[in-house]
Amino acid sequence: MTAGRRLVLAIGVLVAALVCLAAQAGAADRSISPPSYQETRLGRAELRPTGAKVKHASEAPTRAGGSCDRNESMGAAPRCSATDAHGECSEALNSTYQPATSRTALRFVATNSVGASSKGLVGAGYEEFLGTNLGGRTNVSYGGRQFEVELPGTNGMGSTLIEAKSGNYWNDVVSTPQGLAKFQHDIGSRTAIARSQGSSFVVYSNTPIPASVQAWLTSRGSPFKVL
Amino acid sequence: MSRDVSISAFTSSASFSKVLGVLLETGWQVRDVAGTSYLPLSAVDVSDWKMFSADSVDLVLEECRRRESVGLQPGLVLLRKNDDWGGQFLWLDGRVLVATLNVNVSDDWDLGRAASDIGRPLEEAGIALERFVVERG
Repeated sequence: MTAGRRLVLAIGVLVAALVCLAAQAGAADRSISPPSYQETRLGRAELRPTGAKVKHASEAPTRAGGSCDRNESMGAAPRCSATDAHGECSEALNSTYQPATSRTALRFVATNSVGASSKGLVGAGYEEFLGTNLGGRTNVSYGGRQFEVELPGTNGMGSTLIEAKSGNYWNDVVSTPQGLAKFQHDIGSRTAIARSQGSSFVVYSNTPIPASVQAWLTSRGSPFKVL
Repeated sequence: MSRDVSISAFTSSASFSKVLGVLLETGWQVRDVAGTSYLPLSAVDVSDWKMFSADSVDLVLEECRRRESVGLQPGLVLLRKNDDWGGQFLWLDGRVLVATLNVNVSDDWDLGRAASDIGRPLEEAGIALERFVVERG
């Protein structure tokens, strides 16, 4: 074999080795692609990474990714009971995620879930959505009254108590004088109770709040938000 | 969605004093979980409650009567004497009683209690109810 042929053969082997390494790197990239999420029939966001099986902390780590299941009624899937101020599943990151190489990808999913899926939720489903995604606890009681969500205070400020309205609620409010009176007298007392606790009070809705109601809330200094 | 129970009782004509008198004779009390809560004469609208005040029942009733006399809606919190549940009662236009039962009312609270403890006593006292609506939320 001539020196020239040896050189060509060596270059060929080197190129083949480089192609093989590139293929392996590509496979690693696909394994940490961003997970997706889907709505459950219960109206709560169930987060599952693409192509990854749900794992408990005690199980062997997944190769890439993990899951954060916020729905306590979904069988053996681990439950996220703690979220941070951005709605991210902080508990899961510590105890039930199997992060391997994709912590960034998991945070991407949790952030995307905030405010992304409240449409169509009613009643308790919407309350659960707010509690989970805003990082609060649901069904707290002050002054004998039940408040649907309480967000923890930050920077020395008191907590925020939330009244959640959904579905056709606003139609009932604006369609009759007694509907509006009920709304106003209930909001007024809840606001007073919240203030007596050093908390603020906010009305959340996942359907548009009528302009007349918005005007009244504004005139009373009562914050509201559509989410 | 709130766990509250909403009541709308439409009467042909019933004054605040008459309706409240019936309720107070049939197991209701002017009180809240702490003190008394009501709409004072100075309230800017029906949302401007004075909550958990140390004001006496007599003062609360007097404020309510004065509101009615000047064409404002009387409102106060009533609780059942023995059961400790109840809520906010508001009189509209001299003929409509609206109540939001939001004190110690749970998800499984029996809606029939509203009829038996509010609607029936009013009817038995001769206050005709054109409609009596009880609903959650």
